Amino acid sequence: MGLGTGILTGHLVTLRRFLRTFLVGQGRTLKRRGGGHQPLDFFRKPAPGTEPVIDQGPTTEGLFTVEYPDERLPTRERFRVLPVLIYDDEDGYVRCTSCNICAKVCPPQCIWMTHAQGPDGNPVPMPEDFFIDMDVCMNCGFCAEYCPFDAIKMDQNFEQSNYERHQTHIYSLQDLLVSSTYYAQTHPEAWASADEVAERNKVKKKKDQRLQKALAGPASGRPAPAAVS
Amino acid sequence: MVTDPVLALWASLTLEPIPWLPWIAWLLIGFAAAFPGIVAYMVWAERKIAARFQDRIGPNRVGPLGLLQPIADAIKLITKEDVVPQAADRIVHVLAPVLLLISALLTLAVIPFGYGRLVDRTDPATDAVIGWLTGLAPVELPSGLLYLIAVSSLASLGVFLAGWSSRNKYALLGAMRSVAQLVSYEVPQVLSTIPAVLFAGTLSLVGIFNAQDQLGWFIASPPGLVAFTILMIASIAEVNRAPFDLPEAESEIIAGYHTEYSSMRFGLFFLAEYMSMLAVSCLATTLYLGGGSLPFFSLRGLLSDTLASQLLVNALAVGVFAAKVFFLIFVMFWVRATLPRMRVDRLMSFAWKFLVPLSIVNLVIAAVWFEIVVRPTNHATWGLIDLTWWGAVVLTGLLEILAIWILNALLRLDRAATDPRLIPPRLLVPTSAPWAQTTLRA
Repeated sequence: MGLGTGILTGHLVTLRRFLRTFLVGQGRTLKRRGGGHQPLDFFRKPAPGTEPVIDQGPTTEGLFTVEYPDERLPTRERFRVLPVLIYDDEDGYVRCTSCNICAKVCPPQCIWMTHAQGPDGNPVPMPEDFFIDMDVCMNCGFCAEYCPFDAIKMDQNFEQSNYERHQTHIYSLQDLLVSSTYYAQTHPEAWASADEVAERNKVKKKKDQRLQKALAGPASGRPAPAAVS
Repeated sequence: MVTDPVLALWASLTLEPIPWLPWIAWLLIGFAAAFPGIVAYMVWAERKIAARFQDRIGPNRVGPLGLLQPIADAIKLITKEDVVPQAADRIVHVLAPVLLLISALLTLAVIPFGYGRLVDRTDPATDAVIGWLTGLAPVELPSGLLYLIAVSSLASLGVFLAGWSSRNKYALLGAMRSVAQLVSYEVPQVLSTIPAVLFAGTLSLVGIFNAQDQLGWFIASPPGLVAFTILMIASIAEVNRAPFDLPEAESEIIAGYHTEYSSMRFGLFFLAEYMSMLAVSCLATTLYLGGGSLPFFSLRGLLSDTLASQLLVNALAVGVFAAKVFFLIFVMFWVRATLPRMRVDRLMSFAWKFLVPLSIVNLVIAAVWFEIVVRPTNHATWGLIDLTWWGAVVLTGLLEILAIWILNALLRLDRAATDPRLIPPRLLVPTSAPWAQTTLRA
């Protein structure tokens, strides 16, 4: 048993940390980093979606808690939660052709879909409905990785909680559709990448050709798929 | 006699013109409202302070700065289902937390929280009439310290009843650890209160407060400082706080003796634990930190017969008392935020091989201090700072350092003789056994 000098030193170390939370960084004031409502406010809370975004570097000192619902950490571009289906803003076309590749690669097999049919009974390259069981999805991103049409992408929305877990956790086509503009906003780097630009141009070219064909003879081609609003 | 109701209440709190009024007032205002309220906000303060020690914010969701958190917690605890295990001894199971809480509350009953009123009293030793501060204590017992030690040792009974009646092996283990620890640390705790009794010449806590108001704080002497330190360490062990929280070590025995308790019964254990923290802090403040008195300046001179002066002085004194108590409680939070849990054998050897001998030696050194300083000059500490005083500080200080050094050296020798790591390894199997011979040869 020593004389306890190490215990005293340890106490000074912890006391220093304690005092520094009041003296440096965020702890110096009662204010929140992103502004907004103050800790002493009873009822004023930031409206959902307007919470300040707090980023902390390795140099953050003192208090470093991010008070989640009122403040939030930024989501990085590669951050992924659940898959979404993308429709193009210009023409409202769903990119998905219902090829079923995503359903095949999905490791927990949580994707299934039905193929759309034209009035004549022939299959049309778009999904009639598309389901993902969100309780089963393991956020691996394989579906987005394998999709040949860049139609299924990983979203960043992680606030999925609700009060019902039987019906609402199976997302249908309506729940899954997001616009390409939204995707361009959440994934600016991927949107501007050479791969995706080339893919978009290819698809656009195909669509133009199809349009020309349709304009040339409406009776010859298959019926144009209905736009999904 | 007294017509003004405020004055009547005040007079009854400090003296006893209406005999039953102070009891009712202390019970309703103090023990039913103020102390549980203080304890509730102690929990809040502990969570906030422990959070800051870990660079966090702490509770801040319920109310501004999380100030309504204790109320939310209380509502949650009260509305939870109360489960008594089928195999448990029902009556004892229900009784145990109540016993603990009562022990903590009874401890607070003899603490002088303020100055009270200045009254004349005959000194039993000299038959002279002296001024006596009533100390704003709920009850003034001539042998208050003895009573306090008696009721605080009820806690180990409550803990053991809880562990035994639960019929759960973890609860029983926790209770056994707890009894071993509480009984062991009670010895240095009691021994380290004796120097205060020696200096003041009375067992009454009000008397000890009076002595410190006149003689100076008892902590301001080397034996007083050592006794105060031992008292604080032993008190932390007595209230099962980290680093002495083996009885409820959650990583080893779930929650120890209150494993089988839920809802408000668990809440009572929680309340009792913090209440006894408050009680031991109040005790240490009263014994060594001079209660509600300020250093170098006695509020006694401000006391007169007017209500205003009495209210003012007592408000100030209660504030000073609360500040000292809060400081001690903060030290307990600080220790908890710093030190990891002790090992059982070290816990015991620290109590019996270090604290108990040191507090006995300290008692002798306190007697030296008493003979050099207190008895001849009638000043315990800073009343008379002269050559004698400094000589006494140097002498007793050196004696304390010598005592600690010798104890430490003896402990080192003891450790060298008993530490399993220092004993050369030997075979656990007798080598005379024939199969052991073959194994060894191979």
